[in-house]
Amino acid sequence: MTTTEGVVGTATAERIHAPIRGLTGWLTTTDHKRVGILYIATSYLFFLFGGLLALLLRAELAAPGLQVMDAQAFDELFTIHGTVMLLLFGTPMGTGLANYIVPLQIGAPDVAFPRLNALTYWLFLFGGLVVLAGFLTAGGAAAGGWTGYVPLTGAYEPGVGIDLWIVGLVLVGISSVLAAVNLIATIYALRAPGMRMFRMPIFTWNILVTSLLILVAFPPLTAAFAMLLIDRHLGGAFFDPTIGGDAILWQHIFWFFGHPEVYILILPFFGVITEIIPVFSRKPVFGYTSFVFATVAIASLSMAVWAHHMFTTGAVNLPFFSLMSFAIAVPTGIKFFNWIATMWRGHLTFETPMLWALGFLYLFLLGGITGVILASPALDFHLQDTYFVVAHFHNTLIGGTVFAIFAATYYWFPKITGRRLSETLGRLHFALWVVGFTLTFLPQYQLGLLGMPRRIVDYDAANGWVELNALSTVGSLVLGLGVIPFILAVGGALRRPPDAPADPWGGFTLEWATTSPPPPHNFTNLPPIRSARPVFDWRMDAERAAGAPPASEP
Amino acid sequence: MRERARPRSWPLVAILMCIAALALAGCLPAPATTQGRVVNDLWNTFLVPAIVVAAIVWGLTTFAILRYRRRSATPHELPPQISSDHRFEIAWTAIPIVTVLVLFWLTVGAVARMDERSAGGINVAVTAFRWQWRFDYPDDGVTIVGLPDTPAEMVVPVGEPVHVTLTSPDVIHSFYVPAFLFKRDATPGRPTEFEFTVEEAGTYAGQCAEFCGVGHAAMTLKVVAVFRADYEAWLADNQAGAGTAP
Amino acid sequence: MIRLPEEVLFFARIAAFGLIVGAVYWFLAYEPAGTVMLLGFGVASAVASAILWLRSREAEPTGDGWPIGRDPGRIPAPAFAPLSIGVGAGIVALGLALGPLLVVIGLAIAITGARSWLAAAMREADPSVVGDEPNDADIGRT
Repeated sequence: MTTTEGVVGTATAERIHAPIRGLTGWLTTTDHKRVGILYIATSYLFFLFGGLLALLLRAELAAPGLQVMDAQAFDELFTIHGTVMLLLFGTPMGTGLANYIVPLQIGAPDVAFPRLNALTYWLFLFGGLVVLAGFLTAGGAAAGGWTGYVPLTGAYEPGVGIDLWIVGLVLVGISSVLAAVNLIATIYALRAPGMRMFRMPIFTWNILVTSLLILVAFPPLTAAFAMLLIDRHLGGAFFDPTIGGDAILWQHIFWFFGHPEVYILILPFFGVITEIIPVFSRKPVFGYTSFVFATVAIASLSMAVWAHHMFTTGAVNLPFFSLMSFAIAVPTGIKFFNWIATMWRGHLTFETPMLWALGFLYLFLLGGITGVILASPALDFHLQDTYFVVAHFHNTLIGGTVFAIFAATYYWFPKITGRRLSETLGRLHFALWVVGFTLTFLPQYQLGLLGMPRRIVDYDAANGWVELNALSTVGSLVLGLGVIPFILAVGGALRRPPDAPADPWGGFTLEWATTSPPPPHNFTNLPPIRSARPVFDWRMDAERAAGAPPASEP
Repeated sequence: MRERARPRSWPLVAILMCIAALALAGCLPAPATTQGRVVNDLWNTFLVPAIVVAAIVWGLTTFAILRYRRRSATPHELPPQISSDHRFEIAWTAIPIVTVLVLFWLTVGAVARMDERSAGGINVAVTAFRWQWRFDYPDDGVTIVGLPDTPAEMVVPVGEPVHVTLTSPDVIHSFYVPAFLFKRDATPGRPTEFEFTVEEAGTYAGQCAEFCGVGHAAMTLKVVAVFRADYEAWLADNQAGAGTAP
Repeated sequence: MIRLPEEVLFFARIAAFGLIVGAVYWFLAYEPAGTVMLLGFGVASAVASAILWLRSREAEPTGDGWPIGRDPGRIPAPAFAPLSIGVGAGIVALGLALGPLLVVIGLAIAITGARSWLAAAMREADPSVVGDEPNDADIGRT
């Protein structure tokens, strides 16, 4: 029944579905590449929306007093900003990239359940729109923070905005779980002959681990949302302490989701960086096996650190969660040294994907170090819920996740569209983001050390926070401006005719063995898979057969 | 050509950022309490490995970028295709393990010192509510309730332990005074206790640190540390009725 | 000593982590919610690992050591079904917050989509049907 002979891993004796043109084609598609593009494009739109909210928030905080909005609007905006960036941009961006790239990297014609795959996209899209629909209601959107702490989001926020936030996110959560099941099944069942687990590209490995994390993390969140809805509308008492519930229970369940969630947001992008650095160093990844086990270790540990978000409650075991949180630094450190060792003695070039990857190395390190600081409960007693924490997670999510998302975009854009993005605009984009990031978030670290709490609409000038806030707002404007060259690059590239070769970067993994963009069902033939770098081996074989000097560079 | 001019500037930017970060880091507010001093000391200790790790990783990355970039003189053969070396991998697993174990051990010691309870001093029951504070001095029959325009002030004697019991009747708040380098959440249904000893007379601003609704930013407070005689005078002034100012 | 395939070990490792850490956590913290969640994912991963192990023993061995899957089967044709289930679910969600009428409408749309999904899946599972032409009418292509 299984076809294990030969090297062709494409749809076996199956009619190829020619793509349908126009809108109908997109609405009815079950092709993993189109679903992937829908995911990526939609995530970017949510990113622009969430970024706009961030600029408004920074405008309000530029100076003491209320200049742009009132407290209610501010609360809605930071709630929706956080929700959009984490659950409607970061998470689905990972899913979208995985959707497009993973089947290509393992030599599969599609994902395991293509129709289910399309469904996950629509659930994500409509779930996200339901969350945003809160802005159209009389009471406004949800205003309880993206963490939705009870009792605030219980009886104290009667508006329908929070109900929309809850049910919308339930849909998004279901979408994530289904997508994770689909990706695990794809990676387990559809690898081409020869593609053993320890020959899979690191990106695919990280998607596998991330999908497992999603399966662990999202069901508790959905359960917590169901409990919250029962509390709000059916007289339940899970979280209301005045009638026998426990407000801390919400935090336990929420962070049991919430901490793995931050690794769901970073692990796919560790994978991206691990794909890019070897290709632009002309060397194999250093320590493949330790990369894999570091990823598994980070994911495992991330499930046992949730209460480091609760150190200041006085209600959790401090040493257990502190030690587990410190421990995450070890596998993360291994990854850093492996990345550097990959570059060591290589022949490095600095095309835009590599620039973003190097930016990631510099900036994410700072987020990692401040993460170790925050793993200490004693320091948390001062830093928790201040701008130090805000700066730390934006450091990991922008200097980490977003930089890697841009790296992935510049790296795989030629594969996905058949067109390369402008290197000049890409460098400008990168420069503005490095400067903008630095200006926006380094002052926020210092604001946190000085004691400025997060989520306040206004502050007293006497506290000495004025200059640093102004600087941070200027930085956010640079970040906002920095998006413009990116939009121009994408718009310009899409207007040009497709001209990208199958393998513009001299890549190592199977996605570079097919045309750009790939044909329906991906491959007409596959190179033999004898290592983790089948396309590299293929190129070497071809050169040897042509009598070229041994091992010359692409 | 372009490849040679460009990469040089990015490490520079990064190095500048590194310097900027280090220049900004390390300035905690001067600790005003005995417990805050513990946090401050721990922070200063943590800064050392933080700076060392940053210097090593940023330094190695920058060195690799400068030294191993492809130049016109770079030979056209592929670089050596090295894919692992167990000695290095074991080293950079073991050294971080030792580092974080030391940091963990220091943290456990610091938390234990902050949790020490001393005899004597005064008791204050703090109630955080939407959106102000109430300070009850149960031993002396004094109650201070803050109003939106007149935030509550907690007057305490210098050099004596203040035993705080913290609760909330509505949503979660957090009692935070930056100069104490300390905060604790006020969770409804779960009263908690902590202690602080102010070492120097003065007025210390604080505010709610856990988001609690539209009035969150206005939920400020002050802790006023005075000498024993002034403290007793203040108690006497406030015993009759519930005033809001000292 | 049985050499387990990496596919099985992957879930087995996670299971071991969840069960061990869950047990340690209970005796350190006596906190039920976290313990239940840790042990829960431990047990779930153990079940996944066990199922994969049993399946891998039934299947024929191959040179790659992992014989399960590999045949992508029939790739489904384009269809409106996922979209209509998605739209239906979105409207049901709105209805849960705004009013029961929307729940009814949303359910109707979702059920329509689910029926067409099921019909297409049955056709694909039936070896006597060649091609997916019946679906073409479904998406308005002639």
